[in-house]
Amino acid sequence: MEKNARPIAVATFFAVLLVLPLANGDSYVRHISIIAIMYAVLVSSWNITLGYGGVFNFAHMAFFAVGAYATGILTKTFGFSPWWGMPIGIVASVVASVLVCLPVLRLKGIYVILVTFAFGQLCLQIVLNQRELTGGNFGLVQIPPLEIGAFSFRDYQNIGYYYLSLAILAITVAAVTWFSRSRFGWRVIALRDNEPYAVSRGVPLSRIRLATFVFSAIFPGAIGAVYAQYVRSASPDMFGFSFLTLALSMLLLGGIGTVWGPIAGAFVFTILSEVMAPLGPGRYLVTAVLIVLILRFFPKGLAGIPQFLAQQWTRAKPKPQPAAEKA
Amino acid sequence: MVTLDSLLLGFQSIFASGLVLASLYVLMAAGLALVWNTLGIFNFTHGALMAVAAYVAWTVADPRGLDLGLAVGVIVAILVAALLGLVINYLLVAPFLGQKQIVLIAVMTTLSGAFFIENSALLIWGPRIKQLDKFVEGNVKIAGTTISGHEAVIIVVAPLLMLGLWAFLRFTWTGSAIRAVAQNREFAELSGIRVKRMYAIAFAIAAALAGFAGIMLGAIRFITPGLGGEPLLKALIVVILGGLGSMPGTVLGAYLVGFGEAISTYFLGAYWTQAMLFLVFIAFLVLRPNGLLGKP
Amino acid sequence: MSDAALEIRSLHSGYGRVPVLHGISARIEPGETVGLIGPNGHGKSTLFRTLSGLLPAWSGSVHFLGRDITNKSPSAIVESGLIHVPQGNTLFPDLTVQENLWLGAFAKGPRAERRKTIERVFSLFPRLAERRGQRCRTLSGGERQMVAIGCGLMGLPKLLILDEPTLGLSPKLKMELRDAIAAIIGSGVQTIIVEQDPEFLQTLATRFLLVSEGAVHAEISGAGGLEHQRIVEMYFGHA
Repeated sequence: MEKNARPIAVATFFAVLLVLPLANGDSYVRHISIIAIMYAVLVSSWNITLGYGGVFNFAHMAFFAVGAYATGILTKTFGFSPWWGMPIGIVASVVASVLVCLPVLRLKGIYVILVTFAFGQLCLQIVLNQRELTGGNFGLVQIPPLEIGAFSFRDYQNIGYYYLSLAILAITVAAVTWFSRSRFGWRVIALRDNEPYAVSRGVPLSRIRLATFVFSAIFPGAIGAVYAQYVRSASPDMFGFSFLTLALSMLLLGGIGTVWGPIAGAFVFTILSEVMAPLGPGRYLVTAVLIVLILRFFPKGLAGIPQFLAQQWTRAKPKPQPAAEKA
Repeated sequence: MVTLDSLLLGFQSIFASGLVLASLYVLMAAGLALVWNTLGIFNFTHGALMAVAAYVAWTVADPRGLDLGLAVGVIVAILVAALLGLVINYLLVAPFLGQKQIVLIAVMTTLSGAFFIENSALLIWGPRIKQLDKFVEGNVKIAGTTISGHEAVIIVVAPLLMLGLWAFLRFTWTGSAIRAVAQNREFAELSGIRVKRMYAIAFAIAAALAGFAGIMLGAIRFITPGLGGEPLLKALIVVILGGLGSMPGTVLGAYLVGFGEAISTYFLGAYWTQAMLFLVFIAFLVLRPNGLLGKP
Repeated sequence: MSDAALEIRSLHSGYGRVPVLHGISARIEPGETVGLIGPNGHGKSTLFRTLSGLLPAWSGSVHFLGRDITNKSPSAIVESGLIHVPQGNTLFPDLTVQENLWLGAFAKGPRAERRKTIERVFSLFPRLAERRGQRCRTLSGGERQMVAIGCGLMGLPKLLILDEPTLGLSPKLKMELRDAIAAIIGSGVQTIIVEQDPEFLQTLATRFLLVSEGAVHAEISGAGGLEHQRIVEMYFGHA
């Protein structure tokens, strides 16, 4: 990409999202936009641990759900003001991330997947057990919405939630961009690319890994709180396989380890699954096939396409045989 | 007051339910462990294969389906599961083998595969709940507690199947080759073993085992597309507790988890047991990541 | 022109996109025993991995006993009788000695002959007969090397490639192994041996090839005894 093209593209992206509500007041379009923005926040913050950190963290969606449940329970049952929702969500999500990270510090590879995955299941079991508090199987309903005086965030087709989510997305993008260029981010990437070497050069593995988890958990916590207040409920499905698979496919589609890939993935995928809504369960089949095809043929996702095209362009020289070992 | 009698009764019921659970877990975990030991990946379609096999068995056996009887249903369902295993291996695993991040990639591809299969099952068989006939009617008394005949079949068949699997891996050319491939892929190739074929065979056997577990489950639980979801998680726990790469460890893990669950259910109730299980699992992974009988 | 035992024509290969073999060519006649020497990291193992089908050939060709085996599958190449005993005695560590040897005879033809062949292997390496029930993980380095060579023999090779069989062995074991290899050659199995130590090959090989920088850089042929001096010259003159 040209040097100046990127800031212009970023500005255009946010400008379009800013004026979209003025141009289109349709409540269905509004809902889809809010969901897409929320997915974008979730997926691009997941990218911090999974993409940049190379840690197979499968608990990220659980952080989101924990944030939503904590917000719901404390504002509904314990009478906290809805304005405490987001701080509560963030704190709950960060605490959860620390709890997950402690065992993960000692583990590698498949074990990390399993522990993080088991953590989500553990949360789910607790939610199902504590029926009085969480609503059990039926979910937590009637979570108090956000209001300023007489203005509810639900007014004008949820315009309040729309801009709040957009603001969180902007902060997320800024934070991930900062992260990818900061000393902190470099250390995280160094650990991903060559752990023994990075450690021998004095990168503190445990501290950095913990910091990565905590940093990445802020955003799902925040958006989890807003989500709970927006749909006014939290459900056990948020810990489920399908939700995880969906978010994962957005991340893969967009491209792991890039700032803009996951955001593009979230938007493209949300719109795609709305387009496919008439297919019913059939759209899940399409989703599944899509994930496998991406992994097989575009392992770098959408973010890899410009590079892929560039490669096709410069293919004049004969290249050596494929990289993969012939088996 | 707790009398000796009531304690004994409690112990008996723990023993019976623990034995049933443990045997089920052996069935569920065997295939998962075989694939992990041979290919070095976790097959997340394992649960979906259980569901499909249960559905197929139902369709073939049930009077509302083809009405060919339970025996035919079981055989057809196991064959279908094995065939599906071959397809899964061919589409979701084989193309990615040899890549650096194969463990993670396989989690994603097989998770997608499970997603695909479960939703296909929903499309094909609809949301109506089904159930298979029990293999054997009537009840059996063991150690002073009554269990159903079907559960007794599970208790007997699970160790027999493991014995059969062990004998296959130990005494046949194909079985030895599968073990060899697991231990040293390159040397296996230089010995003239067709590695990809061994992978496919191991995958098909594992899928057949999943199918059998699904059929067994389909007679004691309701058949839904998500039938295999919880068993898959249990199987994962069992395989890891036992120690990755160790078949005896897997069996040991199954019996430990089964009896542990029975004891915990008796004293803490069913709800807390599941949470306990995951908690113990996480703690165990941190303290002893190689499992009970695993190699470092 | 009669067929060569092995004919390699301008073979290119490597790992990923990194080329290691830069058009290597060599012709090995039936009946000769070839010693391969050359510095580490200059493509000897890569050459054999390509010959035995573990690595794809980027270009060039390999003919074995007149048949084109370029980019055939490893199992097809093993079945044709070209058997590669890899470097570093990697076996199936948790299988017994006997199981390892059986699996060396996995292909159809050798499998039928396995009982006869294993007796030959045991008479060559009596120590393996004593340890047939032991897991290979528990063997010493020398014993593992014997198992590796034994596995190669179990496949009834028409051409046996031994990649640094003496790596990390004591001088005494090396001598033992040399006698065993001499016996193998004496029994009519054509052999290619890779060695760091030219002295080891002196009495075994009838011809020497020096592989360096991914190509054959020099060769010396002569019946029987080769002068040590010439080998050293050849080795260091190009290294």
